[in-house]
Amino acid sequence: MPLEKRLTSELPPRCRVLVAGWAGPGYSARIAADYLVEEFRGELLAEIYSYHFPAHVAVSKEGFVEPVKCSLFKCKVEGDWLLVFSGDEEPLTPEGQFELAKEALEIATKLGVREVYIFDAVPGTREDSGEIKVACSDGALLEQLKEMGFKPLKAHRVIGVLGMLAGLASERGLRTTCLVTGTYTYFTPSGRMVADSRAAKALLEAFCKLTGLQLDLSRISREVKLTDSFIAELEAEKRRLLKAALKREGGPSYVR
Amino acid sequence: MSGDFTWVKIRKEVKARKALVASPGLRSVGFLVVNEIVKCLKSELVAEIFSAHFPVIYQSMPSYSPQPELPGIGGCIIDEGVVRLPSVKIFWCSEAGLLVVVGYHANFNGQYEVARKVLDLLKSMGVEELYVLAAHAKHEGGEICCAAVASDLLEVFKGKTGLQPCYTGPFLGFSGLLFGLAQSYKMKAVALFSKTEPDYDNPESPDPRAAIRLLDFLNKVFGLAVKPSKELVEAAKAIEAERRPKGLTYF
Repeated sequence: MPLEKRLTSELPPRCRVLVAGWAGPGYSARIAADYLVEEFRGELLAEIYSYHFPAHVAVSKEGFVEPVKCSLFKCKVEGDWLLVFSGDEEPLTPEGQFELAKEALEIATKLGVREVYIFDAVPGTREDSGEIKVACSDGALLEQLKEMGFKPLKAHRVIGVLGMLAGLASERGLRTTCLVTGTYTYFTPSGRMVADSRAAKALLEAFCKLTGLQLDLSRISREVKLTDSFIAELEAEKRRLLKAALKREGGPSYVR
Repeated sequence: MSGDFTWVKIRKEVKARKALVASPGLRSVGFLVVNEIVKCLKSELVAEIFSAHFPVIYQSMPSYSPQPELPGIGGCIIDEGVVRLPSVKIFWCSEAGLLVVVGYHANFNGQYEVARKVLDLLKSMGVEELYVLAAHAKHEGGEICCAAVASDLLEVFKGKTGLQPCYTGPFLGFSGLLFGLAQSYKMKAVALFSKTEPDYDNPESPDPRAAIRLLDFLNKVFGLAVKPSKELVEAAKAIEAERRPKGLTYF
């Protein structure tokens, strides 16, 4: 039994859209998926556990233990239901990734999902952050997206569960769109990652443009501003420290 | 591994007696050749084999030497804005009456499963003769050499073409397994190896010169009329020019 599924609430009557965002570069795809759940007051529908997940558990600050899992949420939006699929860690084998993607897709198609949106991110510079490119299940849909002003992604590999999900959904004839943002991962001097909320916001804007959903983006906009000022402050501090260190007698002569 | 990890999608029912097979192996020679044939003969995609065992990123190097502890990373490929799953593709070249199999390497867990699935499908399509295209890097070997699954078959092929066997050693990956397992499907399988030079940094880097040589041979033996593409010819010329020492015009 390589996969375990636990349903935690009642299945919604019918869903039109499945959105998936996994933790990855800049954490932006995951932030975007979580934001949808928070804004639309999503309810946990199912948790899926795979034997192909890394063999560890997470212990929280409060002392609770949490096994590695992925989650499927249902959100009621404008009289319709939206499914959000998210997770933190990838199964370690293509077979495990395939099983998870297939399971999520099976639940979604049973509920009537016809459209799949994949949030993904590719690492780049700070200037690339939030630049959206798209890929989709067929040429006709791609033309529609181009007419809406989206740039197509020429060559890329969406890896892991989400890549499998995109490929399987396309193969099954579902209208599948990958929204891929450029992302920039900033690390603090102590090595902590600062998530790229700008890229997450760009994913949400693109998703809303494509689906016509109304989403309040004020919270994430505030987060973008906070992140920008936090990074600016850290950068200023780094410059100040570097200047001071270089002024000191006996500093390394090879620093340029 | 068990479960429905490998599945077939048939787009069109066709029957053929002969099939050419290749995958991105040593210097991608066979892979280049089958792609040239598919392009030139306006072939039609008639079937695809998909598998959860196909990584989009290989952890083993080269990709045709899978290791159990390096399963790779799954996912999908985006090509000019369109999403697709990695697959083994089977094309029908009606002009030549041939099936052409463009292979994809499975990881360690799925290599036999995929090979068997492809052979099952080829058998159901009526294939009796399998020609596996690859490369060899034996210094003393001929420009093209052959191997077969049975000695009588080898003798017949040698008599017909004048080729000799020269390669001894393992034949790795998708093509090697298909070649080896073909016997249990009662298929006449012959492997054709075009001579190449190994590239130790990137074993799969294409060798267009070896591909053109193999293509010329196939044109003669199978009566094909596949003209190497401009890109392939130019790539071969570029390699030749790179090899020529500068300033030595007589080289």
